[in-house]
Amino acid sequence: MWINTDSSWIHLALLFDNFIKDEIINVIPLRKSILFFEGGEIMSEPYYDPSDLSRFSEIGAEAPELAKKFFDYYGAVFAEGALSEREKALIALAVAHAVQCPYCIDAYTQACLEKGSNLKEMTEAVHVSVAIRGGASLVHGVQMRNVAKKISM
Amino acid sequence: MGLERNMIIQPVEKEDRETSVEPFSTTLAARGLELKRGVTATLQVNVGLRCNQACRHCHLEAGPDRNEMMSWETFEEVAGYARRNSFEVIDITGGAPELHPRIIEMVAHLAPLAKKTLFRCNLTVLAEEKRDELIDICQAHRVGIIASFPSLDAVQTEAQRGPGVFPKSISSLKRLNEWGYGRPGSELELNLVSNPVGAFLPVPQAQAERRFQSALDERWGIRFHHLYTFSNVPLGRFRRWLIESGNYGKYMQKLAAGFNPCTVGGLMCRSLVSVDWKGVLFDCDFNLAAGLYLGGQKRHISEMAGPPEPGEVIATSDHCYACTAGSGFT
Repeated sequence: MWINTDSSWIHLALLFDNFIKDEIINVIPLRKSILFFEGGEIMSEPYYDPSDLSRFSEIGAEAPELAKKFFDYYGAVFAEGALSEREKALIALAVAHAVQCPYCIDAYTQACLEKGSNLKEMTEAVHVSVAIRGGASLVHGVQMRNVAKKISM
Repeated sequence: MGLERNMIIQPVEKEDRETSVEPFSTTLAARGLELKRGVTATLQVNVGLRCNQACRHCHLEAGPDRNEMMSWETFEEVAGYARRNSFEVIDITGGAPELHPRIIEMVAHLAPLAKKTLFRCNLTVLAEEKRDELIDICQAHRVGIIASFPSLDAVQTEAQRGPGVFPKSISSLKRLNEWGYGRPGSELELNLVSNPVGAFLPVPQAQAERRFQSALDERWGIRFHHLYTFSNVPLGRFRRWLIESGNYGKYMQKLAAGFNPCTVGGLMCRSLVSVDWKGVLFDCDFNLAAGLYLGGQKRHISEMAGPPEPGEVIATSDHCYACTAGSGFT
């Protein structure tokens, strides 16, 4: 049996206990560490390591020119312009949640605080991301309705 | 008892020890830098550790339970030292200096002895006790006021400084404006200080100043001259919080990673001498909190003929990374 340590998964597992006995609960590696239990052996394997964030520049090892172009561009994007650095960090935080990147969430939570944002503003930014993601799904319901109408009597 | 209490070193968890940084002195030496005194222009006078607040980032662990206060005898030695030496600036601090029972006399004695006098104010004492006579004497001597105001957000401010601090701070800033402080063109200087509300670096000063000026004016009609943003120094109550919250190692790494060699020449410790409530001298307020004496040698103000000589070595420790990170603490 495999059990993911993420508390929400354990909670989910308890809810669906009848369905999971002796079955694989979850084999999808999540972003945090995975603890799996098999034949009495407990193993811990980190999948996303926070310290990898500081090694980002290593990505330039095989393609230094492309990496330089990317990091130069990246730096220019976040510099003060028509938008302040604080506003750009809030946008980045919202996008980080949309793309569900734990490195970006870590980095831009700190960046938002260091640029002077507060938790209320940051939470609202996350809700903007959620609204767009949810809205993007929901608006496709129109397509669903179009198809349904076309083939229905 | 105060200093001894401040010097207690909190144990650092194993995880934090493993992520500790190289000694500050090694970082300086590796870059061929030395931290030595220039001309000492500022006398900082710490009149005691009593405060009506117990801010979670306070490197001195000042608070309502602290009774260490400068005696009048020591104060006279401080005033004599200031009189013998022409300091450009006298910087009155604490604790909350407003709470020293003889603070009005102290301001009246010290202000004429320097070109400029500064008074560190936590804003809430003025809100709780009015203290018109204190503002009066500051106004009369053109004493500049430096007030703590970490954030435009009440939740952040009170997380650092305690419940009820935000509305009291707003009320005192309005009152100081009424007395003429902080008004555009006014020679009654009102400057704000913002420290981060946690284990992260401060907001870039110029951007934050524009935002604070605009927001305080729009929301409350408050004006001030400048905003200074400074890193929290990993000493005292802030150090304890860092350790207890598991942030110590990463915070130190962040400070060390932000080491900016360009800040070293302009550090305040090069041009300031700090005297504690007992009359003992230090290179800065942070070394005072750490118990690191002036140039590494314990000296009482009564033994000092003049200011420390240019070229004297400044005592350093790892907390100095807080003053050299990013744009620095000058």
